[in-house]
Amino acid sequence: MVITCPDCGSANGPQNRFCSTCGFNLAPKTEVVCPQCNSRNPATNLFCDECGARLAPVRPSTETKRGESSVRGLSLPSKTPAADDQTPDWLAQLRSSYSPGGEEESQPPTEPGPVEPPVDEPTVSSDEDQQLPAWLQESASEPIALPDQPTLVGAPSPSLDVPDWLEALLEKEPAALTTQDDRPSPSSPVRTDVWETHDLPAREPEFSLDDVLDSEPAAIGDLPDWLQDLMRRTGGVPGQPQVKVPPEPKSPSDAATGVHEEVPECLQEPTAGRKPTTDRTTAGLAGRWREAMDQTARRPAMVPPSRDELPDWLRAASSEFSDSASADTPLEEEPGEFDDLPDWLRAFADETLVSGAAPVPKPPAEPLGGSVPTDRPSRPTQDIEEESFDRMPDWLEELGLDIESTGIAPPEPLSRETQPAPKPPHAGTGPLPSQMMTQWLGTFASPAAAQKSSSERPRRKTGELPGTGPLVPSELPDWLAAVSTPYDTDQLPDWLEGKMAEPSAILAEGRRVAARQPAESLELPAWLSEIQAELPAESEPVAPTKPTPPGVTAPVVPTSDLSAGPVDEAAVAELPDWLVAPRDISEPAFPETLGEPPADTLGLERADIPAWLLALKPRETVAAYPHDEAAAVEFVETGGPLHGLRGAIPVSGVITKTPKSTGLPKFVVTELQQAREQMLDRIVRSSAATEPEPGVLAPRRSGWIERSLIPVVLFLVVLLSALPAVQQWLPFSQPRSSSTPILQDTFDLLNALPDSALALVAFDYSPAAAGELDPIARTLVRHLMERNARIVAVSTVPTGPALAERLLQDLAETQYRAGDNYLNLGYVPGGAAGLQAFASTPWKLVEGSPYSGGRSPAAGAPAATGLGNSLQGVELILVLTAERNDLVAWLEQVGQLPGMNARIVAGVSAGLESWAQPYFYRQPKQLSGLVSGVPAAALYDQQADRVRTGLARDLLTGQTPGLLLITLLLVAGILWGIAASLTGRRRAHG
Amino acid sequence: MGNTVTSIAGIALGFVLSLMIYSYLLGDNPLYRLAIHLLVGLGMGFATVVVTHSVVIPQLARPVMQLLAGQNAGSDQVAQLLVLLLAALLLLKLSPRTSPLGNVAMAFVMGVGAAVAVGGAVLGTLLPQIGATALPLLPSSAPALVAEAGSALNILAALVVIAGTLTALLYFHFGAVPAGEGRLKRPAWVRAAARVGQGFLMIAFGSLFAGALIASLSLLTERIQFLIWAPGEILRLLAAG
Repeated sequence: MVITCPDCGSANGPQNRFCSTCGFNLAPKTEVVCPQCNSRNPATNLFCDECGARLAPVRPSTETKRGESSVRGLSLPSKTPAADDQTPDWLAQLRSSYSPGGEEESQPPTEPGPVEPPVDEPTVSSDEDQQLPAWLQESASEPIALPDQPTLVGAPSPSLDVPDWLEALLEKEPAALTTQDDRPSPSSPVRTDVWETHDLPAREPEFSLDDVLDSEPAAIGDLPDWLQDLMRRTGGVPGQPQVKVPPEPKSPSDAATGVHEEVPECLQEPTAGRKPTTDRTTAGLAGRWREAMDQTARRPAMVPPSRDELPDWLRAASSEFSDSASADTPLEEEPGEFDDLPDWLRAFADETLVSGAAPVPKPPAEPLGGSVPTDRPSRPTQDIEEESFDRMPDWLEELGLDIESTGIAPPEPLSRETQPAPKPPHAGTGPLPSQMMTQWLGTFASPAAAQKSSSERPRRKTGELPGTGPLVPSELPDWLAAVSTPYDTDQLPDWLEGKMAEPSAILAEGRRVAARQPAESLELPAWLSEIQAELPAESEPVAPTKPTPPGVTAPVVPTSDLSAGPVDEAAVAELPDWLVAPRDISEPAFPETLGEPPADTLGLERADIPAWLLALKPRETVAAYPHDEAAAVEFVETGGPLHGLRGAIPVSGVITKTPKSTGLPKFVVTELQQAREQMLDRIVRSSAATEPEPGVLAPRRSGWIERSLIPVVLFLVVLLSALPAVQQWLPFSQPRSSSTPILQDTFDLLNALPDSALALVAFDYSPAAAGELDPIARTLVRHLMERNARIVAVSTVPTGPALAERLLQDLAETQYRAGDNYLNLGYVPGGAAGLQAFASTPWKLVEGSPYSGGRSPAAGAPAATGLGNSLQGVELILVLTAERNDLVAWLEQVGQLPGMNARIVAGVSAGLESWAQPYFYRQPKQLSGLVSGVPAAALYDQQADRVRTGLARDLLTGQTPGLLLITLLLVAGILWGIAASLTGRRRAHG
Repeated sequence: MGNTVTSIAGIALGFVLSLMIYSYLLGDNPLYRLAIHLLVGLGMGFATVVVTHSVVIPQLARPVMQLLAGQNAGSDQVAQLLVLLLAALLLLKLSPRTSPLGNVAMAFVMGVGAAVAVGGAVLGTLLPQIGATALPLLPSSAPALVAEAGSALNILAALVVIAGTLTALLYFHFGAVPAGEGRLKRPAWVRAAARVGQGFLMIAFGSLFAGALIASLSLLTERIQFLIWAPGEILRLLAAG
């Protein structure tokens, strides 16, 4: 079956409880029939759409004052109320009194007072009985035995004497009354209470005979039919003619036996002749009660106990009672005492007074079974109102005497905290004699009668036990007081303790009972029956299971109502306060909205963010999302894939409205943090300054000796040796006589150059190396000039052409002229690639050089004759450089060119000697000659017999002392290091 | 007169700057830094002038002007225009925005330079040196080597060179095999050869250090002699007038 959502129209499966598209609640809702106008209203209505009558009970509130007859509990009818013509007389009377004008008035729901009349009629016609479902008829014919139910059911025992007031009433109106079988039968006007018969929580009766007896001393004609019927069964009604009541077909024992078959075992125990149990279970309590009642009934005469034997509370009540009885004043009604009564009851009472009906004559004090002395004095109503009623209910006061006589201890007076509010006075009623004890209490004497009363008694207004006021613990009998005392769990029966301890179990029990209800018996709609049949047990309506006290008739709650949440609440609302309170404690109220339960209910505690973390928290970097949960839930997406979803987060508000970040707040370093930082710094520094491990040499510290003394000494040594006056005294001022093979080969090569040979000299050194290379260059260039070679100078270093020009000009004084004998071609750019290009086309790169004077091969340059498009005409390439790359570039890029016939001679710095010698020693030689350093240049000068003219010798004379000093320092340093190493090892081993 | 003044100024300037440089012996000071800045600045300035007058003007600007003037239009000028274009692209490297445009010129320069350097190194250094090392061991070369040298010393020298070269190369061989317990060790023979090669390397480094020391000492001596010579020369020039 497909359920169409009434909100969005989308189709949903039959199992859906909420619309899968919009979340609309698809739970079935039954119609509620107004008890006033019989009009049908939606289940969600609290008040009738037609007449405004309240359709749902008022939820009990802790703020409700005691004494207020709060509207508690409402049994929604499972059937349409009968038509007006079928309305019973008593109900019509009530309605007429409630609405004098004959029109129904709608009462404010919050005001206590007239409550809707009982929705369940006290009697059900045979037609209605035939409309009952089969299961209900069956249950009515065979009352279900409730093993766990403390409810005492039973018919009034034939042995129970008719109270005097009833006898008097019967004498006044000796109308013939029919009697009915005490046992319920399918044909009997029994409206089976579903709650009661199916172990549902106790529901206070909506209306009871006690109310009528306590509040209305009306004539028998004013009494409702059911009451008249009851009176006929009980022996008569005051003011009504005594009717011959057919004898009960069953003997008391038979009746009791029959009842025992139907009552729980806990109630059968006393009657079975067993020894009364002393346990504290309900069965034991009920058994004792029944036993006491039986004893009272069998007792020939009740002797009032002495005052000394009575407990204090009962003694006080007894004294008051006796005092009031001694006054022997007629019971009078005070106008003001009706103010505390509900309107409907007050109207009822007023009508009684207006009709001239005499107040209920003080019935003779007659105990149950006629054991109570008839000369029991009455007491003034006023006194009762002022004294006795505040502490002792009349029914309990009367019962107290009997209880005292039976030896059963009356309930302990409640503490001050648990004392109920002053009970409102009875309306027009005086202290009832013991034989006017409430019928539900009288059922203890006869289980059969109790059963009958529980089944036939009209529904009493919920929230009120016998008596007109709300339920007060002091009015409860022992067993109920024991049960109703939430703080004295020892007095609770086991089954109730379990229920009290586990409210959820009670609810589950209610669901289980509700699940046992045949849906068709409650006239559920077909669709609802199907849904209910498909629902799991957990989804069944919650129906709290409460024990039903004797005489308390639970209202009928239709199953359809059980399936709805509010009805569950209503059912719970009808619970007495003492049962509601534990439930409220054990079941915290969750919010109506869906979502996570509050954190406190989960045992979680909200943690506080530390201050330092809050200081680092960025300031409102995202748009503030509206935290209005209600607005968020109501928001419905209108577009996109989320169309129709409720509660979607509006994306635009989060993304598009992101404000700019205001940045992090300035971080303030506190004094504590500064102190910690300093402490950490000290720790790090101390760890870094730790002593070295034994055996490990400490790092050497550069001292003033290395930084200042040695340079100064070296400077002085070189300075002194450079002085000409000193040089002549130096032993090494004279050059060595012999030359090295390399110098010899170089000298021979240059010396073998033909006349006017073209020599290409590369001045590839900078001014920084000119101090060392200039002597070498002078030595070699001079030798070339001596051989009358044409010198063409080039340079791969920008500063080289200037040095070459200066040197050539310095050496050209010996009849060598620029352009004719030598030519400075200038700078050759491009490094290695430039050299390769220069070797291919020499003039192309150096054409137009400022050092060449604008000369070109075309313009004619005798010095460059033969230097065409290649270096094939060059006889010798002299490379003067202090850089390895420059030397290698000439060797690699020029010396390896095919067809290169030029010999390459290198005049390099002393530091390049190791790099240049491999090219010299290679066979065939890549480097034909090598002059490295000033010493080699000095030797070359000596070889060329230019000892006194060469600059190299002067440098060599000056650097030799310095070189010797450096050598000595090096040796000393090496020895010092070796000694330190040995010493360190010894320390390490020692 | 002009030459004398220039000479006096040059010698005096050289004298002062040398003293400023040597003031570093007393520690870092502004005079030393000033002299260093002058050296670098003047050197770069001088190089720029030289390159401009030796390369840019004669090798680039002048041909382009001639090309624009319609003179000597030929393939060389077209090539020079291409060089001009590459140079212009290379200048675009100055700006981060236009830097990618200069990558072509930079790639051309680097490519040509690397190719020339690698080719020259292989043909001018690597192969010749390998040949020079291996030839003495060849049977065909050994008799000649002995005949030329005339003694076993040359053969020993050749063996030493070979041994030194191989052991030095093995020193930089870091291949190892597992030695148990998670450790790695080079083979024993490799370790021994590496130790010998380490000795050769130390000798080579000592030789290089000695050459650098001698070169430095020569520069120091030359500069000290200049400082000793400069005042007298200045006085002489001044006196000469």
